[in-house]
Amino acid sequence: MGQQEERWLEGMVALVTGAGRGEDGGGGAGISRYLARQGAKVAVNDLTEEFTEATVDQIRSRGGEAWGIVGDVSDPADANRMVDAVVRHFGRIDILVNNAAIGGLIPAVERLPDEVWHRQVAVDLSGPFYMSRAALRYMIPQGFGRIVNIASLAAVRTGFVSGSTYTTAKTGLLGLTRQMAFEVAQFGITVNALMPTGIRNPRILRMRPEWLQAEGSLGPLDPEEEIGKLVAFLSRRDVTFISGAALPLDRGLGSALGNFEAYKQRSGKDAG
Amino acid sequence: MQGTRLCDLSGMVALVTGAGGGSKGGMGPVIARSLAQAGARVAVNDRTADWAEATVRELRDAGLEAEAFPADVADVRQADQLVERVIERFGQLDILVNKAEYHASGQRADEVSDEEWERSLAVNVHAPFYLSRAAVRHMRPRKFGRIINVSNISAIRTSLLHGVPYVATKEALYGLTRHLAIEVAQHGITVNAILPGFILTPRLVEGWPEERRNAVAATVPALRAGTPEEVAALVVFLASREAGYITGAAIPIDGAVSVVPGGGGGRRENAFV
Repeated sequence: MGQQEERWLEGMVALVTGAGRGEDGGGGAGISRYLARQGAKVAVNDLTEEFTEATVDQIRSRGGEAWGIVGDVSDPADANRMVDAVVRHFGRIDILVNNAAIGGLIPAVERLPDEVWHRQVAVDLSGPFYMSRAALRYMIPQGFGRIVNIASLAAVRTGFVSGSTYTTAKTGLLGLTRQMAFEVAQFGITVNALMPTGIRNPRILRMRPEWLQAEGSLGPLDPEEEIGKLVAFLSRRDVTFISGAALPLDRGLGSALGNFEAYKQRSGKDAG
Repeated sequence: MQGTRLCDLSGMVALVTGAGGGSKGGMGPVIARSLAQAGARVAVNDRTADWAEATVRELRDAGLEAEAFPADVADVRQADQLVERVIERFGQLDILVNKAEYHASGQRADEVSDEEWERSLAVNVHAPFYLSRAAVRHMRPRKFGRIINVSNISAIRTSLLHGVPYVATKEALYGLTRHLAIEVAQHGITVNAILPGFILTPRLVEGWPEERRNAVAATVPALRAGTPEEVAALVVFLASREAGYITGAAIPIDGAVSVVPGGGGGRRENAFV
């Protein structure tokens, strides 16, 4: 009989943003499920209670501990309120996963409306800043913390489907990660960024089935078993040596020489 | 005669934001001067008419063609109108240099205020977006354009003086640079970022005691600060017709300080970015 392996995150409290929709969700829901499997108590954030409860119910039905918290990460007051509420409910906060983001088909810069630009930068870049700032206010005095920012390979290349707003915000997220990591290393806090390529998202694949180009080892990333697993690993108490890092999750394909033709065709982008 | 020297910008029109102050200013006015010396007519932008005029006066005294266009580029309407007015006045726009920037005051991440964050975004990211959008609309049918975004070495490293808002927004500007570059490359428009390190501007010479300047210079492999003229020369090159295949790039101009390993505790009093 083998030894029972200790769960990686036993007793830890995590807050994952943009983690709703449960089975129909994307990266955030998958990450939440994996963290819960590793013993973390997970606060699931999204924009509506319908969304958060879908993931919370899913986690609870598998024997995990979860709690929903509704709020908009791009609003600093909401960000503070949410982190305070998580600490009140669970007693502490150890792990923050800045996953909430908006993407979507964005026009070329030339045709990009102000509101679209501002909204996306607010959610994708300001959101992680406001949430991290709020979490650090607890993590610094407690001398421990893990912040994982879900960026994108777009942060070092260009967005695939999403446009200049996404590339801009996700690239800025790396700067946020690196500077923050530098500033809080002395407090036992690590801050890292993941740069995934395509993530399996049932709802989006229903809308755009042609985006599913392959399955298995060349297919989209599994939000739970692949991204969730890495987030959980980086959150371990004994993983103190990786911080300020930007890790590509691209099955080794993201650094291949670019192909603009294929990029335009596959993404359907308004790229010129 | 003309056209045979490298980097001849005759016949071109450039808009440089944050270029006020003349010989009392930072890199902006020196960039404006170098572009003018290379033959371009230069629209000098800064937030106030006085500050912009200071540069214009000095350029005209040197026989160069320049005009002041005050505007707060973080305001979308003013940014749009700025590009409109430049094109109205000069008939065209070939070169846009996004130099205007905001330096947050360097609080630790947990203590940065909403205002510092939002102002950094507005000046360092939104303004270049507004201006690039307006410029590209004009440049695309003409099949020629040069957009140069002045980022900073902290976009790929850290900042001891300006904190999370500066580093995040300066790196975000590089993201915009890359994405816009791929959108417009086929139209003869290049978009690049330059990343200056320790540059000795007149403002710095006035504001920093010699020991501090020497201490910072010692951290740089070149053992000296760079000059604004060196930064301006890079801008002139990127603006030139010869540089048409360089696009989406981030070019450090830093005496190799960004390739030396960091750490060692960094001392705020010796910081430069």
